[in-house]
Amino acid sequence: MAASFTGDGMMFTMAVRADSAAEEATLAELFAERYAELVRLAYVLTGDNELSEDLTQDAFVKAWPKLRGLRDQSKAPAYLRQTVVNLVRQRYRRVLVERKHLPKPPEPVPGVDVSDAIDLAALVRTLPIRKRACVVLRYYADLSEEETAAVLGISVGTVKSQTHRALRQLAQLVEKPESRG
Amino acid sequence: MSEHNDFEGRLRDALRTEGDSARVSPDALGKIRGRIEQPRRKHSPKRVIAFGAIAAAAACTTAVIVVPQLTGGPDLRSASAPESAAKDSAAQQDNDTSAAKPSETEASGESRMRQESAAVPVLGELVVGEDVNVLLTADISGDTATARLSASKWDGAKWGSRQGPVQVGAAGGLAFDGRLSGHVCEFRVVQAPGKPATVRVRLAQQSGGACSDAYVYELDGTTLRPK
Repeated sequence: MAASFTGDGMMFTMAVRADSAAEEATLAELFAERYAELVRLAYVLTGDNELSEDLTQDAFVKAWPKLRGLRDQSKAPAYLRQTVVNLVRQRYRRVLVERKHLPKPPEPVPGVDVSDAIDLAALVRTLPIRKRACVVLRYYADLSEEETAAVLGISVGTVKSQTHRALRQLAQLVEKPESRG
Repeated sequence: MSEHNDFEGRLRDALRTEGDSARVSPDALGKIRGRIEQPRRKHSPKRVIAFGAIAAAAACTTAVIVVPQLTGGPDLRSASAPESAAKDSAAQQDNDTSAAKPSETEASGESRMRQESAAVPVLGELVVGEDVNVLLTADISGDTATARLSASKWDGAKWGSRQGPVQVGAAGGLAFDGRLSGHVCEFRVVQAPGKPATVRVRLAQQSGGACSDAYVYELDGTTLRPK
């Protein structure tokens, strides 16, 4: 008995290997440059380290088919960031009664000025996911209103209004801690 | 206004402090690689070949694969693949009672597109066991080409660096005049129980010409040593 390999099959394997080496380098580079940053972004949004890593890894895997074919690799970070934020949003959308599952706001420390003791980051996570994403992208990721709108797939006007309402809500929570319950 | 800015400043500081407290696991890249590779490996022609080789090895004490041909000669100026002469090789291999038959790879439309980007002429490829790949390639120089063997190992996530290459036969053992016109008479691996695998190669300088004596190499992991 004998086996023969077609030339096409062999060249296909060879080409795949060459592609794989280049892709491997691209992936390693993207990972080194962006992974930690994206985990931190997801963590600020979710407050859960393990979930943040899972979502960021999901983002790399989901985005990879598109990223590997990108001619302009400078667009990769924005695409990955958008994927992470969308995955976080999807995660929260799955919970039908979102407010039931919101993290519990921190309790004020007795005898200490409330405004100093409040964990603002934890308060941000009590916001509905869209407001939260607006605040985190604007004040943590330092994105412009236009960039934030692009990541979230909403209008610049909506980013402005959502961010404004979120800040007002946070300020109220800080000033009147009893309203946090 | 300044109160508003002060609040935004506090918010930025709080979020940055929060972000900095996130931890990153050291094996994250490996996990991502693994998940990306999974679907790719599932459909890899190499896996098809590997499964065939395993099945053959289970049936025989000797596992043998291959024999591509260069009849007709590929036009390397356009970096296309060598022509397959499966019929010729099958006829030649039918006389070899120690040969086994793994799955035959089939050229898809995608493979045809991919091969156009491949510049290295591959004369043949073997899969030894489940995870070692041996390539027979042609190194073209002027109007001749030199056959070379190299091997690499799959570590579960990616192919390791290719060991070798080892020159097969004389330098310029194959004729090249814009097209490779030589002939691979034999390219196979012999795996006897308890002994290291050996790779056998015989070449003809011209298509249809006389075949050389066998060049035999012992395969130790991915290291190829002439015997």
